Amino acid sequence: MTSFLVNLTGLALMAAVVWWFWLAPTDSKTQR
Amino acid sequence: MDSTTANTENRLSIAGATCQGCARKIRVALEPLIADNAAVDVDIEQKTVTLPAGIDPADAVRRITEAGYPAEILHAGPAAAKSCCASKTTSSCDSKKSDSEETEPPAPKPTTSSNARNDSNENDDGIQLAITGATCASCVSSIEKALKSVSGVTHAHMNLADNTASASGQVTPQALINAIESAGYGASVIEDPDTADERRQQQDRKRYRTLMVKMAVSLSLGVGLMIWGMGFGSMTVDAGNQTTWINLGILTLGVMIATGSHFFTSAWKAFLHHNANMDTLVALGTGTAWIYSMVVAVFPEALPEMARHVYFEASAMIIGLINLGQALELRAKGKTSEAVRRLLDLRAKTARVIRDGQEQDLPIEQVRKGDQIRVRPGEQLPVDGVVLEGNTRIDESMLTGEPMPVSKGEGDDVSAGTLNTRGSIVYEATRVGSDTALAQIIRLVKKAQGSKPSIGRLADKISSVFVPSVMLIAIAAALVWYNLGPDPVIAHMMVAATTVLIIACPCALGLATPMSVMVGVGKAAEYGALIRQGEALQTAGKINLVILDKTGTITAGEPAVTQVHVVEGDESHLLALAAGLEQHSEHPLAHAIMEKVRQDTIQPADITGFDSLNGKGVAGEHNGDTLRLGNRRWLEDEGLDVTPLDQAAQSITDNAGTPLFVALGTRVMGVIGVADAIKPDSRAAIKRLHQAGIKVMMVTGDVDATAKAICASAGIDDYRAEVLPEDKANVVNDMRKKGYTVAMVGDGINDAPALAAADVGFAIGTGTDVAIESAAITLMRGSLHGVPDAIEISRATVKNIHQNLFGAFVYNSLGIPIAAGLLYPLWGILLSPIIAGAAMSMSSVTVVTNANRLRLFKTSYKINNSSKQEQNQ
Repeated sequence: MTSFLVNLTGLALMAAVVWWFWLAPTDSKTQR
Repeated sequence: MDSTTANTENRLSIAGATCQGCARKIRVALEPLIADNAAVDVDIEQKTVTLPAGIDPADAVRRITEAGYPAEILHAGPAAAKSCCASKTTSSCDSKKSDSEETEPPAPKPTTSSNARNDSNENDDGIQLAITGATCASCVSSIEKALKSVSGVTHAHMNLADNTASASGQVTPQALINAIESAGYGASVIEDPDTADERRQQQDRKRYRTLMVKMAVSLSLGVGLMIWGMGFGSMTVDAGNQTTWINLGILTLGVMIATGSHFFTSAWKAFLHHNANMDTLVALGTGTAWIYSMVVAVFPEALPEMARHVYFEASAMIIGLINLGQALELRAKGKTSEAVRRLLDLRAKTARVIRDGQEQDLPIEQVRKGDQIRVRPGEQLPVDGVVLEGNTRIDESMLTGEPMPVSKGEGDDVSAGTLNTRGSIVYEATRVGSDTALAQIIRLVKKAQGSKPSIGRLADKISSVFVPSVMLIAIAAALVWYNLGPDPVIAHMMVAATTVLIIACPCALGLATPMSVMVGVGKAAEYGALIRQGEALQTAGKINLVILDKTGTITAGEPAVTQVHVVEGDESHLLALAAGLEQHSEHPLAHAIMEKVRQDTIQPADITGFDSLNGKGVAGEHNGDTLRLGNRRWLEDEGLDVTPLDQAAQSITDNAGTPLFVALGTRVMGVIGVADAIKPDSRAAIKRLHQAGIKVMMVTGDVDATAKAICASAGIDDYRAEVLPEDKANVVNDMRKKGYTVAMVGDGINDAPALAAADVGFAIGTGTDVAIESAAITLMRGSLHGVPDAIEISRATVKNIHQNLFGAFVYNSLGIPIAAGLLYPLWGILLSPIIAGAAMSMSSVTVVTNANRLRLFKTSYKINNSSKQEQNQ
């Protein structure tokens, strides 16, 4: 169970990084 | 261009064009409209394109805009205005309709930054901003992105080497500042670049001291903890030392806030704007280490015994080491702008002005155009001017790179910043303040230092995704360690993730190109080669064909006596006879002979009854005999036998000279060779080009025989003779089509189309009178040696950039996998985060130091010191 949670957290963090830095609409993107 | 012509032509404004390459693209875009490419005048400085009358400017606007340079009509000629407004094909045509109807030129644009401060305006030179808080390539990318997102900005550029940014377009400075601040950085408008430089130096010195203090505090704590932990206690938490470790953890937090808060605030601001930079990595790395250690210290039972290791010393030491790295980087960065500082130091503070017959020392700011200024030996000239009284030798090496002091007398131009070596002179100020040649050179060098060649674009692309990618790698490494690693897995995954975050260094990538460009451009300026764009610096290194204009480039541009052959009497007698006739003539060949006798202090012979016979020569009476000076055919027609001089005449012709025969009565006295002599150092410069593997070609309007003779004498590989000035650009284009990377070297005025058509245009001039804005590279010293100098510096700079980029890429691509633990399965090596911190700091210091190495670069041009001394005496 712990192993599953740690892996899930890791993958969620990676997804968050990808979303936040590449996919999320930014101020500059919206201004464009 | 006269006003009549101006009114019949079309003038467009363009944005985003920065170099001769852009000019070429614009010409290519206009080719379908205008058959004669040379008729298009693209002025990069003024950001204008002038088209011949009869062209539809709306169509031209569309084509230029499609080529990537937004264009608008500034002025439409009558025919064009009609066609433009009849078709109404583009919005810019419509918007400019009223302008064209009025046929009034547009009002002059405000250019000063003070004007730009409050008003929205089209900025030709762009608004210059001083940036704070930028540390790495990711910051550059974020700032450029923020600037470009502001509505109206057409071009934005950030230079990490001197922490400045520029943006052009229809925009207010405040909007730019707001955009940068909202991206998490600080910005202010640079109003006076000179004072801004001084202010930045002061700030840098202050920041250096602050960083060193912070480094001392954090390293003391880190080293202290390490010694205490390893020597007297243990770095693992147990019941006996738990309270001590909690207290030490709180102390570490205090030190981290005191000495590294700038990493955390910068990271947070960037994060809020979906950006990540080097500070993000430092903050995440040290933050992770501290949080993990604090969890261990407060809840040791929650973790297996093997994982109860604390890393407080790592957090403190990493911050200390990165502060040290930034301080060293700051110091090394300061050295890269030494060339400009040396130019700035040339400016005199005061001038000895003669007003109302009184000599007075006035601050330089109070010197006005027209003032008379006295300069004594050993003093620096405060402003540009024209010598009124006295003779001296002036050392212009600081501006032109020319090692020999130049003789100056009444009527000669002198430049601010040069050194009066001998006599005392009085001169009239013609250009003061920011109009002096020195001020222009400083502006040009600074601008070029900030420009980025295309070689750096790959690094820019990578760095914009670098930090988030490193974050992904760190998480992935942690998961791999968790799933596959040995015990204690929690400690291992934390160490691996922290080390990956800390070792990754986007700053080395970001500094690699701008640092080398800054030093390279400065180095070229030392040799009297002013490079206008970073791109030209890069392209100059690839040149494999140099096309030289003949007159004024290979040759001095003024005919001179090159040979004297005597049949009867001595050389000075022959010259005296020739001068006796030629003193009455205005022919250029006559000037050459008069100059020769003036130099040799020969008194011209007395002549009466002077007569000039067009196409033949000149004649007169000397001591009752007819004295003739002219060409062979005329003398032979007069029944004179010139065969004894055949060999001499052939030698003169072979060396591209014109033979002038002298006959007194029926006796042929001798022959004088007059030629546009090859500059003394042209041969050596061409030899240097050959040694660098570059083919050399000459274009000239002269006849084939003369061109051939010059080529043979100067060692030129190939030539094109009888080329009209306007066809020189076609020669350049032909050679480019054959696959050569072509440099065109010309005098910068009538060669402008050819200079623009070449991959790199070199304008050559003597002293500071050369039009420094006419080509990509301007050679201030009137010597061809400037071409190999600039090429050698360019090659060295590009090599340096390659080394830097290679180092930065290799460092990151080796460092990150090693930090992630790639070597652990093989040799059991897992890097400590402290080593990673030291390596990261050193990588950016190495890049800056390597760029600084360029400052020691010397070209293959050897200055003959002995001849310099002779000249000085």
